[in-house]
Amino acid sequence: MIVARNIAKTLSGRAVLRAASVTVKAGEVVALVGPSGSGKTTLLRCLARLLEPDAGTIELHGLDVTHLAGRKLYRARRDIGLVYQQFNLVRRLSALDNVLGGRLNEIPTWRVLTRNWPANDVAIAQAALARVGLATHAAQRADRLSGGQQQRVAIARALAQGSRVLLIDEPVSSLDPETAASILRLIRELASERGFAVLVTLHRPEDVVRVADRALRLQDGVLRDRLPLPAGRGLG
Amino acid sequence: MRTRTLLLWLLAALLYLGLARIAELDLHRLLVGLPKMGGWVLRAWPPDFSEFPQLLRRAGETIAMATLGSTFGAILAAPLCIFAARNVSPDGWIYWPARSLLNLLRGIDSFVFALLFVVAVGLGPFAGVIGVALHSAGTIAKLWSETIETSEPGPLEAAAMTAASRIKLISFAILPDALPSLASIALYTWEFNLRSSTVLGLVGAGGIGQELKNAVDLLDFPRVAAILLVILTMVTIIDQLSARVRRSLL
Repeated sequence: MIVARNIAKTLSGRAVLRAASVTVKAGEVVALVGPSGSGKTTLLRCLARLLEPDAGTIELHGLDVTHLAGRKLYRARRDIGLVYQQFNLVRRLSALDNVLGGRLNEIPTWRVLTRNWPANDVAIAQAALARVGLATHAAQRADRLSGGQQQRVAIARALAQGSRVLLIDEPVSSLDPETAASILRLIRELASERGFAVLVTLHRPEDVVRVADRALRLQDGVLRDRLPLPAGRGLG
Repeated sequence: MRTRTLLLWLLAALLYLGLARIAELDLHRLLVGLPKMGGWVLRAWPPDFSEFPQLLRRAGETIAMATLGSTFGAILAAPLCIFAARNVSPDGWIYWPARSLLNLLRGIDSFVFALLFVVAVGLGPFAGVIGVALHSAGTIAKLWSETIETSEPGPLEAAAMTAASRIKLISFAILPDALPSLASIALYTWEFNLRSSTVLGLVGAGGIGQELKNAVDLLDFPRVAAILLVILTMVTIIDQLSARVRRSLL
């Protein structure tokens, strides 16, 4: 579970976030919507502590991580899987190696340097790839996969990392409608099956309806309101 | 605007005139000297390959100097480029000293290093190897650090979310995508070093350059011609080989 209260962030003299508050519980998918430049990505980066918020607090599973630094921050960050709009895969590595990237902290340095991955970690990465439907693409180079497949590899990397919170930035904005639907279905299933707390930024209303339990609109730096979702979607 | 442009042209012309004066450019001397050089070229034919095995041995020394020097240079450059790349440098305090060191190494030519090391280790190719290694370390580290700095930040950030150590992050998230460029830089430096190593003999650092200097000193032009042909062949083969490998990497 992740809780952010009154997050404020000014970038290049512009107050991108003023008092953004959001709570995402285990098993819940919360969609973050808003026009381009409204601060959705900035909020995700603040939650992952890749950007320092100017004000506000962030709690991860009840632990205040707002002011953590050094090793403690790194340890806390491991529990956050960040899935990027541009996937951020290592292009020349295979899908399996990219997923193993989520296990870097667990693997001895010499094994990372020699790419001699431990069998246990390989098994975890293969299971993650299988879960996102890419078991047969394990050996394929990341830059030879389609956009949808690369997004799945990025999600598998977060799974292999063992994170319980997933922050997903515009996962479907560059994908065709069919692929987008399958990615959103996967995100939904992962939250339900594994109890992930998922905060996902989205643009299209139909995508929000497909995946989210709740939707929050970020406007003028504040999470202003909750959008109505159809019944059966578990409105928050 | 036109006056300003005219003034700039005038300033440039004055600058070049000044530079020509400092460099003692003298067209008359060139016109007088060229026929003399033409005479030498005529006297150089046919090239004297009577000591071809000796020339090959010296060419081998040059190749060894360039290859070992480039390899040791790359080994030295590996840690240096990490410290000198802003996006992966461990801390601010090491960045500037590392940057200064590689600028110093790059700023002094391998020729000058070899000249200094001839005093330390004596005449012969060993001094040349050290000279090439030190200068190459600076050149390779600078180019490698710039390649690392321009690598995509996304994969590094994604890997950093796992809280892995810096060495793991660099090895996993940067090296695979940057490796072809890094290898290409090292190969290009090797090519360059082979060409520059041919003159290291002038300071007593051995190699085919030593033979060239001896032959020129003795005005033995057929031998000079043979040496130049050996150099040309050697450089062309290595250039082609290196270019082919670099093409296959990218």
